[in-house]
Amino acid sequence: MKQASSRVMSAFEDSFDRTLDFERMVELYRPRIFRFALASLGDRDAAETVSQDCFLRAHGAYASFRGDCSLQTWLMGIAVNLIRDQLRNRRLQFWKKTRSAPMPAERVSLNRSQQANDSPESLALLKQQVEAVWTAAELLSARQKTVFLLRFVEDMDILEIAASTGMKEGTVKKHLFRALQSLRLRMGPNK
Amino acid sequence: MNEHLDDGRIARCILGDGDAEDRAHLALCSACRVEVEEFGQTLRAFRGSVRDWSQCESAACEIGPKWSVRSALGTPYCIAVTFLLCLMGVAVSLWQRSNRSPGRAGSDPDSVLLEQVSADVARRVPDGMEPLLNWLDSTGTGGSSPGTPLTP
Repeated sequence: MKQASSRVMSAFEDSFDRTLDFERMVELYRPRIFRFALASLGDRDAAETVSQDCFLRAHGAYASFRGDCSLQTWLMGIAVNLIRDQLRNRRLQFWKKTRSAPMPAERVSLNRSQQANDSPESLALLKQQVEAVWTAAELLSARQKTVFLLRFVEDMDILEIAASTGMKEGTVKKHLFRALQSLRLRMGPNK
Repeated sequence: MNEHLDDGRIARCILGDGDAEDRAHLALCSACRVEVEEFGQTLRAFRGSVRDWSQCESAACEIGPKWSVRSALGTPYCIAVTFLLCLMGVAVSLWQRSNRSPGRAGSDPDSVLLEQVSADVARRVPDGMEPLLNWLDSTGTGGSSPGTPLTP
């Protein structure tokens, strides 16, 4: 009897620990998932939905997570799939596309350290270039945009991006290379 | 020195994938080095702008109204309230129907018309013969009311 109760208690404690772990995980990774979804979709509501769905799916599959990759890579993989689904659905809703049109001027804000160090002219030029990156990034293909954002916004390396997107390392490199090339091409001579 | 790096090679250098030749060129050519550095700086600024934007939007999500029609309709409490309201509406309409008085029903235009028609039908003497009936009444030969049928 005593053994049974102790087993029940240890199972309860395990589940409690897992719940706490999961809560910590949400707290830690939610901003990153939201940021990636926001940059990919350009729509706050959609990004919020994606990040909620991502953690909902992660909660369902958390017990089966074997730790083959980092938690961030695993979560990003879920988010990449959800974003792909969102974009597929959005193709049927043309009005969503107009609503989430790029607004570089509103989005662009430079860091305070940059603002403190640089002259107003160079800051204006940098802001203009960042706007151009926004505009050019909106025109990238879905895969190119995904790998570009994972690499240059989320600071993930090629292997992590490959694990998150399910692509091969070489394919990731190819998409990144093409993304950068078309960005430079679209940004014009003042890149 | 060779000519400057093309877009593809600069992109490779930015990705950190440049070969020894590219690295050697960058070490010697300040123009290409500046270009790579400037593009790197632009990408870092872009990252900063995405992060700032995300923080602002995230804060807006937290500050913004928690209640939405979708979430409210999703809660069992609101479903129960909606169901109760519908039930009350049906009950009130049934009660109103059952309490409708016959006197009030008579005041309907349809009922008035029906009464008028039945009165006209009940009348056995046509309107055109009423002066004759009045005359008969006044002479006392008829001895009948306007409603009584004329005997041949």
